[in-house]
Amino acid sequence: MELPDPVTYAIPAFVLLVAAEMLVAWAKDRRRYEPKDTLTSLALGTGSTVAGVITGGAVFALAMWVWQFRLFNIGWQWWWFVVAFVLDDFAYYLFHRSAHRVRWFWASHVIHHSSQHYNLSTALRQTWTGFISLAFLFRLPLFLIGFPPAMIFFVAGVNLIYQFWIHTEVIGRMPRWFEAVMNTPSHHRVHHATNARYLDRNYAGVFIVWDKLLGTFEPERDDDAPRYGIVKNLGSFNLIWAAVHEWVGIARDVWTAPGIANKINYMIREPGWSHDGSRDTSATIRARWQQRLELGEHAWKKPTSSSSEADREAAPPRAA
Amino acid sequence: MTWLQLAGSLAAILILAGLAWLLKLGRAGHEGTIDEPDQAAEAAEQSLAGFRTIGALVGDDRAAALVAGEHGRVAVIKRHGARLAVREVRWEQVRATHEGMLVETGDRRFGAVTVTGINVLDVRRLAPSLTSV
Repeated sequence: MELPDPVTYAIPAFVLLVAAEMLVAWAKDRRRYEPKDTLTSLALGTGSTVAGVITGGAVFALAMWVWQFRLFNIGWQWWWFVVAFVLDDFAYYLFHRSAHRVRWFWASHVIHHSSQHYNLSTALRQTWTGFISLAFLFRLPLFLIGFPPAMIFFVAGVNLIYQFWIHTEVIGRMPRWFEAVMNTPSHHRVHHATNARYLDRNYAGVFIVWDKLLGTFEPERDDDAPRYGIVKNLGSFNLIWAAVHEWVGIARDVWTAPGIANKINYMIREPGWSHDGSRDTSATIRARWQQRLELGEHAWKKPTSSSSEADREAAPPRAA
Repeated sequence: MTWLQLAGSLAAILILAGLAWLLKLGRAGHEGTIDEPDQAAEAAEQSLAGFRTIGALVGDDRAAALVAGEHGRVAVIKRHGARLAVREVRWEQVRATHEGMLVETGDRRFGAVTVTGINVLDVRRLAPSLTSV
């Protein structure tokens, strides 16, 4: 069965919604966008699409090759699409969790997190090196089960379209029942935040239930406004650097690491791991933050501090 | 993706980035400036695990700051669009120039940062334990 690529059809809507969000930012808080950041994000997205076109054939061929060994023959009835969507979303959760916990996968995924802004253009800030990082491996079990590759790639496209609208600060909270099951702007703001509380949390694509089931869920708190970006922000809008900086970091570390075990660990251990413990991982960052909380120490705050003012950037409070 | 789609995408990118520029998003006023030392201190503590601020110096142009922390730690903050970007450095990377204190971050893309209008005396007051900057 020939299925369309839903993402291609959604692109005009993406463009219009980004423009609409810019108008909201102009009216409410101009810090939500920055022209150079937007340019970088959108250029990365276009580059990602081009990379996908270049490597898509190989990925599809591999999928078809695996599918021939399928355990079951799954048909094209609509309910199989629903099942495929749910299972593909779980596969996405597993991939996404690995993309934050294994440096080799992180090197490709970090691009998406490297903006210090959180808006709809950030949703389009996608990797150029997904094929190199072998991200497609996580879908192979679905083909082995018996889901036709065309079906999986179609539902994966729908999954990606869903994830576009959650990259915004315009929406505060959705209704409680929705927040309980689905990934939402609030849940995904947590995921993009570098606050110690929020690091490596909320990996969901569409259904937040995977995080709740597997212990990686953290709700957004109004008293801990998300700060976006990566632990060591780039400080640069350079397009190529955004795309390759972590790969360069891996190469440097592997080259200088003592011993083969450390060289391998610099590729497969969690981001921030170092053979001499000199760098921070999300675990050490969280641990130091917890320690400060337990000791009752407060972050730098004085009565005259501008940080005591209301954060105009913060997402609006619960609406329903 | 056809060539037409690629051309359309590139056009859309330029239009959207242009719209952001026309609307003066991220650059209309004080976006990304460092208005006072507390703001720099907060940025350093939020970005660097375990960093405890002793004091901070903000440049005259409010585009950069130097934050001294306990145990000899030091961070440089710079304006990055409408946000602030932070790097932890060593005091050896900080030196005086006629414009202010120049911080060679060692990160070519992050760039060197000049905290304008502050001098060695300001730094010594910030971090009295320093014997040389």
